[in-house]
Amino acid sequence: MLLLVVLLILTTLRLPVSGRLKNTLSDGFLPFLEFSTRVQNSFGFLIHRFKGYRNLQAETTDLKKQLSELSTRVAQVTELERENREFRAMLDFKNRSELKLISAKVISRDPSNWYNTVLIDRGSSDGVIGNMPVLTVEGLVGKTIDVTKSNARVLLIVDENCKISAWLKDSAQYGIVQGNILAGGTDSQCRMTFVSRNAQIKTNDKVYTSGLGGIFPKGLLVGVVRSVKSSEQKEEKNILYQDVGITPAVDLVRIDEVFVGIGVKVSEKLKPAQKS
Amino acid sequence: MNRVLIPIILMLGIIFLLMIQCTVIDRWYPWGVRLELLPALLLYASFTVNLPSALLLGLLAGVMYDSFSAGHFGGSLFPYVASITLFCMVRPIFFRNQFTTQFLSGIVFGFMALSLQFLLSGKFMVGWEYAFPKILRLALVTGVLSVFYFAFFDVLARMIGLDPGRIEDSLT
Repeated sequence: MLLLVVLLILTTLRLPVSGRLKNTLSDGFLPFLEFSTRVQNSFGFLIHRFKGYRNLQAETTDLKKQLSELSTRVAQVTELERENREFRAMLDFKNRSELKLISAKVISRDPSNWYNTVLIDRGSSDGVIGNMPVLTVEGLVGKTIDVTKSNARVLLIVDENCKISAWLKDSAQYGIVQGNILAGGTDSQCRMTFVSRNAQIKTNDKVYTSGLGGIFPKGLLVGVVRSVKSSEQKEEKNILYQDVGITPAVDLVRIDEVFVGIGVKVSEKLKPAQKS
Repeated sequence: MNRVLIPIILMLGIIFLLMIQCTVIDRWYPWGVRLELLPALLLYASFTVNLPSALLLGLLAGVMYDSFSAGHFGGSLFPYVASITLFCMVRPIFFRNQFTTQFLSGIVFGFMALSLQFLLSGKFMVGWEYAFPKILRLALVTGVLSVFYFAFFDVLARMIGLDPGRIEDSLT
């Protein structure tokens, strides 16, 4: 009680001693103030960090979404670029080719294991008839067999029923290319027969259509030589011909777009001559 | 109800599977063979519905298959109908719900149907030595698929309140 009265007197009268007392007290409380401030600052920093974390989380979610959208867009653009490249190549091929070509989409494949055919979305209404060559930019695919008004069946060159008169460019040898998928498996899906046993044939030699069969025009790439079985290898010394295994130039499992050769382009040079 | 709804489900199954076979899995060659999805389903039909319904399903499957294939019309019809008839006749002596029965019947059904298909394909001269391993692999696939189809279609039929494989269905 007495202390309280003394304090009241000291503060009310504004004596010099009261000032010193105030300073001493404030000095004494300073560490506590500092501690309090530090705690407050730390707490504020934590709150700020927490708020920042929440913002960061939202930002991350947003960025992830953007990234996913952009990835999808990049994939789409890549696919479009690929498609564009393919279409450009096809257009270029169409312009360069001596054949009058119409493009067709592959609709479905033969469900059977014993036939190798595909169905395309062009038929007699588009000018397609039987025994027309079907090809892609890479090479020969096959020939049309059953044609309806709106679609046609294409017999692939790997089918045993498909036979093509062919020519080995490097060794200038003629022969018959026949489908061989049942016996040859994935490596030599076609085989070339009636090739002279004296012919010097190497692997990777290119095989082209000879134009002699009447269905396929000359110069279409059929495939490349994968294996050669000469008479020595076959252990039949009196054999007349070599057996040449061929891998088709076109990946026939992955064909989506093909061309059907519905005729031969009339050359500009020939036109006036025809008129006269 | 049982005699009408299950064949209808199987009919839709045939159409659906054939579409898949021609378009979706046409680029997939497990074991170097193109998957045959129908024989296993026709085996299920032989073990589940009565003989006339199973034969009608075989007829539908054969006609549809041949119309999508380059083979001559009827080249699959006879193999399917013959295999269905055989399995419909012998099914009373089998426990259809056993996995082993389903698997082994699938192999036999697949082998029979596919061998007949190959014989009728006109490529017999190409050589059995190449076709036989292919047919064996396809028959094995049919066996595996049969187990899967039995499980799937039995569950589906029971979900809609049907009782697949009743013994009285096999007698007519």
